[in-house]
Amino acid sequence: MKSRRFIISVFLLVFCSAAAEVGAQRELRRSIAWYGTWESGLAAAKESGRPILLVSAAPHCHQVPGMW
Amino acid sequence: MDESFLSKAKVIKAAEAFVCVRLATYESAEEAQFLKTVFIGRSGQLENTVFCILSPDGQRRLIRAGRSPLQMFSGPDQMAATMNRIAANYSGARQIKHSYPALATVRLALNVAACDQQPLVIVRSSSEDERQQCKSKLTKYAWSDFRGQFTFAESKSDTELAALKGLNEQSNIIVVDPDPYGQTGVVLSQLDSSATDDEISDALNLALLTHQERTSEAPVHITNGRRRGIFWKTQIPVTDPGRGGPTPNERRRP
Repeated sequence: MKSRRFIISVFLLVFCSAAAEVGAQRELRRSIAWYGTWESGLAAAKESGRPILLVSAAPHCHQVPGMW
Repeated sequence: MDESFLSKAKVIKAAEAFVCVRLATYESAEEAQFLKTVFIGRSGQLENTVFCILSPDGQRRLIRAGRSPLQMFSGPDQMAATMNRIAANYSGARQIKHSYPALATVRLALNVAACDQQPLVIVRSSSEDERQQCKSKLTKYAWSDFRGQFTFAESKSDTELAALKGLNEQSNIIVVDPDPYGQTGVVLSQLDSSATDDEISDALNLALLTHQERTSEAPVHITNGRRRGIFWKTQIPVTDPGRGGPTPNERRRP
């Protein structure tokens, strides 16, 4: 009986730690969510009446991809 | 791209009152034409980066346009304060009915995901109805719990997915870890269109835990990319006088 409680306690501890790690990582990574095409972004702005934060950048640095 | 302002908490918070649009310069002739109406630098040509805040119809500039927030504001605090002031003028705005924020192609999305060091989510089906079903399920995650943490794309054809390793034939929702240059990707999770909310949430959480972030700094990334012959072919010619972007030493880190 005691060993079962121990196993359940360990399981809960591991589960809670993992959940906390996911939550912390999510918070760390939180950033602006973007529309990636002008057509879709403009449609959302017109429909909602909200102003548009517009950024454009080339997804390459000295023609090498993987870096803005 | 100067991320030193856009990654700050105050700016991220202020951005929630806006529709945020980030385009990939030189990847669409149509969008390039539009961008030229927003900002052209001293070169008289479309340059690598454009930044502005526009009215909801996209017609009117609400601040002076430029290459980046760095040109327009003294710091993130001033940028956030300006955004909050502009947002106050649109206090009657409605909630945004968000759509699935797909980039134009899987090829571009893989590259952008690598640039952002994020996992990529791809909706895949030759059936419009099935794609729509998957996109509807994913849209709520894209704009709430997992806001700003994934790049998104969709695919009607498997030819676009040839760069992915570990792909099943039947999967409709594919979560991918892009390689550092966004040329290939490893499938982290894949689900079919009947996936439940819990299954999708688990797949996205797993991707955030297992996704490998790039460790190399810009100079190393660029040097290694050149050595390996990895070059990005844009959809339209690059017209920036800097011939393809700032040098590694000119870049500002977030």
